[in-house]
Amino acid sequence: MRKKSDQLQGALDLLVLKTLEEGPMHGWGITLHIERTSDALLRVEEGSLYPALHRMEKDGWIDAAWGVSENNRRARFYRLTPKGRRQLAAERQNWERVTGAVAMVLNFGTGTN
Amino acid sequence: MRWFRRLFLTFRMKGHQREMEEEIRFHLAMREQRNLDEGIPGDEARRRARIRFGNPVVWMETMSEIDIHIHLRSAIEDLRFGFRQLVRNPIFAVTGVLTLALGIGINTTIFTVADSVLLKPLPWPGADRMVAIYERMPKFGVMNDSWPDYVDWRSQNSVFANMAALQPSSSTVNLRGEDQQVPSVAVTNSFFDVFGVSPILGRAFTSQEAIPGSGLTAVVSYAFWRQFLGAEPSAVGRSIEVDGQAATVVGVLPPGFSIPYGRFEIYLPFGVKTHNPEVADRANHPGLGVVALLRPGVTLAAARTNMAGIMKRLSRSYTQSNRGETVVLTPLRDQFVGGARNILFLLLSATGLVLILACANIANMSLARAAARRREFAVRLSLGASRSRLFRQALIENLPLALLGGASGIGLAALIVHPLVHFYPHRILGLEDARLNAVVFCFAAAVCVTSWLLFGIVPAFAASRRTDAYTSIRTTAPDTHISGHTRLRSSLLVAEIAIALVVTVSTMLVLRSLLAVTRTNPGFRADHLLVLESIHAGSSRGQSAGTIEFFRELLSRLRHLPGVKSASAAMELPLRGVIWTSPYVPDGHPQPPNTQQPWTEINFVMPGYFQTMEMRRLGGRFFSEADSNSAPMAVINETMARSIGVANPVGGQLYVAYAPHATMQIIGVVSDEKQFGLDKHDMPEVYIPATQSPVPVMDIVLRTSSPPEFLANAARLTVHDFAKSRSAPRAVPMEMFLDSNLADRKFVSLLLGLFDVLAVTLALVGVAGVVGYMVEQRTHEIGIRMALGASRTHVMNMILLGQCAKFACLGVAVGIGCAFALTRLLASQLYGVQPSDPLTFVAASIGLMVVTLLASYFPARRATMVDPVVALRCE
Repeated sequence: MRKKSDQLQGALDLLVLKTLEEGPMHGWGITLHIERTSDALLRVEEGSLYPALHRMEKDGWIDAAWGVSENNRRARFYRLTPKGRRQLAAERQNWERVTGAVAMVLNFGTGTN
Repeated sequence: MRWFRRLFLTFRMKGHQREMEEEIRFHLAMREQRNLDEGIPGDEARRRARIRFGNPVVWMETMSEIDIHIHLRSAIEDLRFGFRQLVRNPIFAVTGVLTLALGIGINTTIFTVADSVLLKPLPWPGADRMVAIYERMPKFGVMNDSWPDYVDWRSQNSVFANMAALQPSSSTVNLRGEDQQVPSVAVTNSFFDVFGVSPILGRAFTSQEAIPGSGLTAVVSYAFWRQFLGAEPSAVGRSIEVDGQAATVVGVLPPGFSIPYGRFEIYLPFGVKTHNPEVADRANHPGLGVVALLRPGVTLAAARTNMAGIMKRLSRSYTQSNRGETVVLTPLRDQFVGGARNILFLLLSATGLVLILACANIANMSLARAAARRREFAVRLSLGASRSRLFRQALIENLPLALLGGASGIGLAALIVHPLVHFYPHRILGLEDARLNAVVFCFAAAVCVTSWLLFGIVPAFAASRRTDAYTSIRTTAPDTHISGHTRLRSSLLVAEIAIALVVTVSTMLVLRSLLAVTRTNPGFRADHLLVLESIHAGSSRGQSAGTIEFFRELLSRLRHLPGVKSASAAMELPLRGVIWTSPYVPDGHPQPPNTQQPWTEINFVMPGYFQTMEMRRLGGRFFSEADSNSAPMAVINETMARSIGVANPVGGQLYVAYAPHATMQIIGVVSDEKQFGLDKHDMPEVYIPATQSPVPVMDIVLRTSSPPEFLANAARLTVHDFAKSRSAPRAVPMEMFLDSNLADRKFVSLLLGLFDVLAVTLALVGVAGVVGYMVEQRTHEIGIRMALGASRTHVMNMILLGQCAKFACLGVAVGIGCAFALTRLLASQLYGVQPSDPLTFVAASIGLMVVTLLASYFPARRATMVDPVVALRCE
């Protein structure tokens, strides 16, 4: 089985979970939200987003249900579960530790010189 | 993994697919709308949306991959949970693994033997196309083949690629100045081609050797070459003395070559015998066996038709010798494995039933555990776990048990196959090569998976059943009504009792057959009888006079041994088959041999034989020393006396075509002796005095006053001293032949008995377990009853008679039905008892009822020990 880098996947998971913390949202909405809030710096690939949603649903981090979108179309809405909320907290902490560590490494040269 | 994913996609994705497609459509529409909003024209907006999205098929596959991953992960988690459960419940684990190991072990063991005997290819290149051919006489049954018939089959058939005839016998070989009896076989030149063997040294027979009168040659076995010819290559060309004739060794066969007809050391060309009048006589059957190799693509049925046509023509052309004669074609394996197939089938069925019992017991135990976890499952169901998820979990949790049980079972089989094979009393083709191999492992794995499903599926169903979560969660006490679990367990109980009954009935039938055979009167007194095997008068002394003097003198010496009451000799002792048969005419009118005539065994005995054997005289007189110069005479057995049909056959004439003197006067009638085996029918037999027609090789019997073993040595020494250069003969108590005659049945009975003990034990453990569970369920109710004044006896009766007896009856009833249908398959193994023998059925039923009630007694007693106060308070 192919396996993607856990780090990148972890990042996407984190972004999706964080987005859903705002409230239930469909896949398109998640794409849009991440693009907007990152000033279009982060572009979510649909080819990664939907499998990720599927996996997180199976893992029980998020729930899915059919609902009606803003423009009156049937859309699948994803919602954070309590388990997902805990997962978000954990991933967020992890992410911050990792980025912090990366920053420390990057700053090491500049700091001592 | 790719094929797996495809498979998975096809099976699982059907339902999700539509949802996914809709989600994709929504996403695309939104993206298109956004593109339009940004001023991109219609078609281009749609195209860009699609490009941006990428190939939906690819990520749908990715999703299914995720699903597989999740399934596998959860399966591994369940598996680990299963292992932890086992570790936490060591009693359950040990009982379960042991039970399963026994069940799988005995199945694998018996299958290993079956694989070797019935499935593994035979060691000759064309073995699957080899057919043994025998003739069937209209008034006698299956018989060995006639040489002229063989010659005609060979030239007229259109179905066989090759055909060979062989005549097993025994030859006296002079080695280093000493005579040695060696199993030998005369074969046609085609023999070596049919069996696909060529000598490792020298050559096989050529057409030269088929010409009578040419010098005798011999091909020898590897073992013979090593043992007697010094394993020297120069042995080829050397001359050895075979039956008083010089024979040149022309070839040595490869090591390990053997044929199912026997272990032969010397192969002689049959060609030299073909002009022998006995062999050339079409009516004579000189002990020939025929093996033919089917042409590739020709079926056995086609070969049978072809051969039947030839026999019909022969039957018309040679009415005297062949009228009504047919052929029997049997694949070589069937010919030599024969009865073992039935025995193995019987044993495999028994072990299969034991395994089912083992599985039922484990299912029962798992159910008890599942009952304890019912609340856990109910909670999980109500929290949204799917039923299929719970089903899967319960099933996978049982897998560790199946794996451990299977592995131990295979280990057990590896340990017991070897002793079992050596314990088996007789030689069966392929038996000694029984080993655990790939086929056996596949079988064991299949058995393991099957039993896993058998004992795993019941608790899995129980776990995933839709229950009323509300009450299940709320109730703290076990429910008092008969729950679904209890129903499931009681049906298991009924099935267990039924299976135990089937095994018990079969075992009892086989045991009763063994008893019946043991009780069969062999026709002589077998105790205090010593046999000295194959005593040769010596071919060099010439026939008749010398031979008879030899035996007379030797017998008189033996009679003088202390402890010997009497001594005599015969060509064919009972229980050992016969080598000489002939058509006969009861009224004594000479007639050429005719297939419509009845056949008789011919035996040659010294005076005093019947007395030594203590056979009963039914009329006339027995032979005496004075008979040697009288007119030809015979003593007949009871069966022949009956077939003659005269009130008193003594004094009448008898015509036996192949006897040395065909016309004889009947001087006496003697009781039947079992010539072939205790469980075989008696045949007509005619006894001819060896003093009138001497035979060179006879078995000597001694009636002893002390145990025959005590005399063995003295008797052997006497023979050795008397016969000078010969080695001492084998001395065997007659009772050993009786034992060996029973050995097959004893072996099967013992194994079946063991399996039955296992089956009944497993069933009883199951009964005790289920009753214990039921009693526990009713603790509360029993408490109330006792508080209201019910006596212990009353409660006991309620449980034992009200519940247990009901199940026992039901189980026995179902078991009787099944046994009735199944035991008729046993018919070929039975002797002196019918497959539906009422006594056996009744005895087994009552016995099983009694032990079932006994097994339920102890758990039931515990119920009556309940203190009403405690029972009521336990909620």
